[in-house]
Amino acid sequence: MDGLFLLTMQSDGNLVLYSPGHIAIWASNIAGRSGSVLQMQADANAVLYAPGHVTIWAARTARGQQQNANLASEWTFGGSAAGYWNVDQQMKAEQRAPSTYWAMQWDWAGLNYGGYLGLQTNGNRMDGSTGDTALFSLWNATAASGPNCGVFGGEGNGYSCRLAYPITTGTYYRYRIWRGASDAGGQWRGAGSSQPPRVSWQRRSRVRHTWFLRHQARAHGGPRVAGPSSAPAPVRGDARTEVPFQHVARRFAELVCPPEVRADQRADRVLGELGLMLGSLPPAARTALAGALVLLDQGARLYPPSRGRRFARLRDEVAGPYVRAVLARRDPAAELIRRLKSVITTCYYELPEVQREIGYDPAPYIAAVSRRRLESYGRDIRAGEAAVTAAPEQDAPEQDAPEQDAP
Amino acid sequence: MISGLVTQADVAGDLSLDCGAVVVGSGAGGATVAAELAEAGVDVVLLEEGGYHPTESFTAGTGRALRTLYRDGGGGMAIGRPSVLYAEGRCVGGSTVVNGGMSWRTPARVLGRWAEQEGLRAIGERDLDPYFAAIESRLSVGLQDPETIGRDSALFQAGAQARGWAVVPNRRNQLHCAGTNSCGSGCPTGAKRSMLVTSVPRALARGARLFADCRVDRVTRSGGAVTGVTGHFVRPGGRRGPGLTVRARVVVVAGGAIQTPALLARSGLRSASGRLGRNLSVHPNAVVTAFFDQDVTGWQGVHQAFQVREFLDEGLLLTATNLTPPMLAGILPAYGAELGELMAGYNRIVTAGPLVSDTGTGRIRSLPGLGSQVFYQLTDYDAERVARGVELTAEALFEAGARRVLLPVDGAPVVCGPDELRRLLARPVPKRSLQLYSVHLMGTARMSEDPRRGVTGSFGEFHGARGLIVADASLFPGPIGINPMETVIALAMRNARRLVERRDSYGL
Repeated sequence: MDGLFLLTMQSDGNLVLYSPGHIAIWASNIAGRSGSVLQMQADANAVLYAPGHVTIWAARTARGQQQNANLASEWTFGGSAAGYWNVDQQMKAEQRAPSTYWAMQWDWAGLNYGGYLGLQTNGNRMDGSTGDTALFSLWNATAASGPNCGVFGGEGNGYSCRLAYPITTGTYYRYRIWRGASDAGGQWRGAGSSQPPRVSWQRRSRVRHTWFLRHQARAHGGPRVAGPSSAPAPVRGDARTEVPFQHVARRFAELVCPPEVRADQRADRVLGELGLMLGSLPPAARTALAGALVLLDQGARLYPPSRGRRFARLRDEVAGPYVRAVLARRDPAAELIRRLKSVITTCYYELPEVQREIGYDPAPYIAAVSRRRLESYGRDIRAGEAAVTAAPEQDAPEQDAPEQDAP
Repeated sequence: MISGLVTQADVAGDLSLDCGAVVVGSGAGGATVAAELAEAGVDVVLLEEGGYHPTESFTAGTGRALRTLYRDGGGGMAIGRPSVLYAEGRCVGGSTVVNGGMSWRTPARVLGRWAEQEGLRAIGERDLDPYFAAIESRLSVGLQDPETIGRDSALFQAGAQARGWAVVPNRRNQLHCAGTNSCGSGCPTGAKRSMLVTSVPRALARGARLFADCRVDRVTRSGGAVTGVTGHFVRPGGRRGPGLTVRARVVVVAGGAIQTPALLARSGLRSASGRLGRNLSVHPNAVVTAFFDQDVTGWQGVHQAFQVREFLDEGLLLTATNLTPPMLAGILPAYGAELGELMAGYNRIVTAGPLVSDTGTGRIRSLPGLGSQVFYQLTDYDAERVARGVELTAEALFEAGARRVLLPVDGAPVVCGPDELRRLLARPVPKRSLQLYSVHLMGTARMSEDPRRGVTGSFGEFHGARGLIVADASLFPGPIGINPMETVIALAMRNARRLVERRDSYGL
């Protein structure tokens, strides 16, 4: 394929071939099939598939690889990546020279990113060595995962994954990139595998290497009015842990929280909060608090009025004085149980209805003063926020006379 | 999501990176260094163990904040008699996301003492003034708009002034703070100019790359020079995720005074001074809870609008800080029905207390299977001053009209007036019965030009490892007696610019 020509798949699914100078010389004239796949086959025949692998067009431009030359395709799609799920290509390494590459490159005209997937005989790897290399690069990528990935510069910036990979002539290689469905911001996965010739596309070949590269869309910051809710809700990064010895924890909560904890399944929700809280603690602290529950439970056997029963089985008349006695002690076990008490009462006063009962309802207040702030000082605020990332501040000193280093 | 940010959710397999400088920690020190170096064109990788939580995610919810923005749910404990509970931020922006937002320049007498005792260079008031000015501009440091001052602060100010004490309005890093009283849960308006909304985005806009949810395990070395760091991503629930290797010519460690020495120690770095992980100051503070007859509604309006500086020479700073119901319930010794009765008066409560510039020191020790554990021994002298600070605070609160006061002393009765207070505190308070907290951790990699006295040199460079810079409150040779954030940032900015000046010798 002649690298000077440009094949463009527009966001509407129309495929257009441009000659040098960006003159459209051919178009598939098939629009409205977004999500189509353009596939460069082993014989350099380009085939456009609609979703579901239905062939809707084939270029019939097959041409063998020239000796000591490179086989590459460069696809520029109009618009954004929306609607595209993957790009496939199969290539055959006919002959090799000291500097040969078999590659596909793609990008979207409307976006600042694109990528490259291919094989090179003289690829520069991330560890500094050179040789037969499989490469997957994404311009302006912000993250990479998989083996041997890192940043690259020079021809733009981004992440690249480069793996030592022996290239065998006479072998067909399949390249495929996927767009992560979960992230319209552009997570791309690249894979290459060698496969015997004449394998049909429908059959899955064994994928040898998979890399992930990811873009992130910039979110617009700026002043905002704070949100309406202060109700506890799972947030990003939250991990709930099952509360250990739950019946003991529940009984303890019934005694150390105000009596209203027994109403409206509040104890359940205190335990829910406690589970979230425990999830944020390091394992050692979780173990310590679980130990506190065991000590509390079994310690009751030594409390004469309990007559050998565990804490969880005690009635209020006995359990109450027992808790009072334990919390008044000064030993390390009691210190641990006091910590547990603090965590549980913290969880109780986290419940929105409990907060409202004592006249604490911050969300409407926060919303009101946040709005007042923007109304009164909006211009100042916007200027101040913009200054943070603006040009170099001129307020900083140059150190005019660098001192001598200490001997 | 912001450009240049990578979180654990983005990473499926091990990562390997090359850069000029890797910065460990995105709080006051780390974010500042990252912004300075990126500004100078250095390829910067910024690593943060905590998650990325944008302003939009912040609410007044205490539980959410403790779980997502603080290390270990905010429940660190320095073991001693008494133990001191401490809190460290762990999120992009570090403790600046959850602190009270006080920005004070380092007192001249503290700088003078450091220069004299440790032979530190370029650390006089004149040397640092330009950095303070730069910080105050970037962080919009200034006085609070008057309509945002809460009644708890106003009452405490009135009480202190009636006693004839010097009270100053707090200087805060805020851009027209709305007074939402949510400092400890992450500012929901972005008015508090934390690193999350200032130096972190500034660094990213200049090409720095930020990796959140990424815990650094070791600083790597070859010969006498550092070569980078290794670490791993942390999955939700603390599970270990993919590994990360960063090769860098300069390693900046800014994990705070607990994590920085812990990281250096587990990397096998030793200080000839023997002071690494020692010399910990904590500015112990205590909370006096006062009940008024009238409505206070302390959660409306900014907290700590004023500081009582009358007793600064004694190493005492007094201030009123409103606590959310979950936090207050967690520190009150009461439980059951009694707790319910106290909390029912939540809107008539003022909480205030002293912060003590401590003479005692603590240390960080690595315990097998438990990680780093902090030990701290309160001195008798400091215990006396805590008790004095508690007495002074309670006096001011009674002066302002408080009816009853709860003291942060185990087993102390409810105090109903100044006479009762004096009688109660006439006898020495048992040290072990004090309930103490810390949010200022300092001094565990202290600067000294003498490698036999200090872990780091005048500009934060680790004595004995080339290319290793410390940039957080670990650097402080001792406690500073006031809010430390601006000092941390000033030292970080100064040391980063020094690094840029000498970039050739570091290969940057």
